[in-house]
Amino acid sequence: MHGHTPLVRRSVPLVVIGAIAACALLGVVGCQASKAQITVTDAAVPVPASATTAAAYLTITNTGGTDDVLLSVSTPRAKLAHLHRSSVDAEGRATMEAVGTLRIPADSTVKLTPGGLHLMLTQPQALTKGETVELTLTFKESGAKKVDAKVIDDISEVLPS
Amino acid sequence: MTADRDRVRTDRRSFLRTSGLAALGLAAAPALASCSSGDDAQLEDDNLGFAGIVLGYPLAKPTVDFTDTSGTAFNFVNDTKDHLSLALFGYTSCPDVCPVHLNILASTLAKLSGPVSKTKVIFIGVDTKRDTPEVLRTYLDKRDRDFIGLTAAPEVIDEALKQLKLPSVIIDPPTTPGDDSYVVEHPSQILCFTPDNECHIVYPSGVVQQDWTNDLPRLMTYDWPVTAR
Repeated sequence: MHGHTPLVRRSVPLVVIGAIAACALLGVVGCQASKAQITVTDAAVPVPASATTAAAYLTITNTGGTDDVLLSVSTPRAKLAHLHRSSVDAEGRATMEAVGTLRIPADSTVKLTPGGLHLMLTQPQALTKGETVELTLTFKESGAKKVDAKVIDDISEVLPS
Repeated sequence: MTADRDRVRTDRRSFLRTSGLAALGLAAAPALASCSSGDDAQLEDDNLGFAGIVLGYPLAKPTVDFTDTSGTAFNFVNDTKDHLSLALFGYTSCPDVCPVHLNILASTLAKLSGPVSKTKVIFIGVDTKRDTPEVLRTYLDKRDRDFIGLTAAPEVIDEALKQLKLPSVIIDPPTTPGDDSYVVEHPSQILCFTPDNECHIVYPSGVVQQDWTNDLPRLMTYDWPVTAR
């Protein structure tokens, strides 16, 4: 019998390990099941020099365990708002294209910054430094999220660091 | 966009072609450098401590006839003679790249003092249908009243771009129902003409204010080696 003791003793840690593994598994399952949690921060609109367009930059954070998708954008301060992406082609030509939807992966942050993804506001109302522009971002999972974008005149506030 | 991309691919007017650095907006230099006869690899890697891209050989100022926003003829060679001058091609409805460039340049020059603060910034409007001299002036005045705005007929702008080895302009058709605005694809680079009246260096999109603050004073006095064109 004496020889069995080590086995008995060993069985206790095994149970503990099993329990930890089960908890970990539950934890993972729990993460996968947790809803997308979207916050929109650091929204800013540089004072537009043009009467036809302005751009909005912001940060979208998803702290949930499920991907979310930005479906549309709107603002009462412009005729239209679209998600766009600026890029530079192989010849150095600046191009821009409309982006239909934008996936915000679970547990991640997506930044809209100059020279890349941005919200284009078509025919904006007159915007002056210091005021705010209400933006509504509609997500597939999280629904509508409103954010007040600050109108700024120093673009360096929104440039990637 | 597919059709537009095809047009880009088939457009042979520009030879600023490269691949690897394009995503970073560094498209101009390697192709230009490759046209020089000397140490291309060295030139590609050595930008002499500048944030821009040093060209393998200098570019001359364009010799086409522009008109400034007051309606006066602008001769690039004479009207920028011996000045540090930055030239960019763009359009006022551009929501992202053009205003970012101009905003950064205005902020930079406002914080500099002495002769370098008089650097000429020249914005050449390529959206000739919408960007009248008046529209250009109103647009530039919101950044800096000293910024120079130039216009010309589309074919004249095409010729200037050709002389400067820059990519051609592409006007995209409107894509959004209910919105007749359109995108103009234009060179993203900023050309720098130094006081020796040559363009030795091109700045890609994405250059930040600190880069200009560091580079512009050096560019005022930098002693460029004489290089065959």
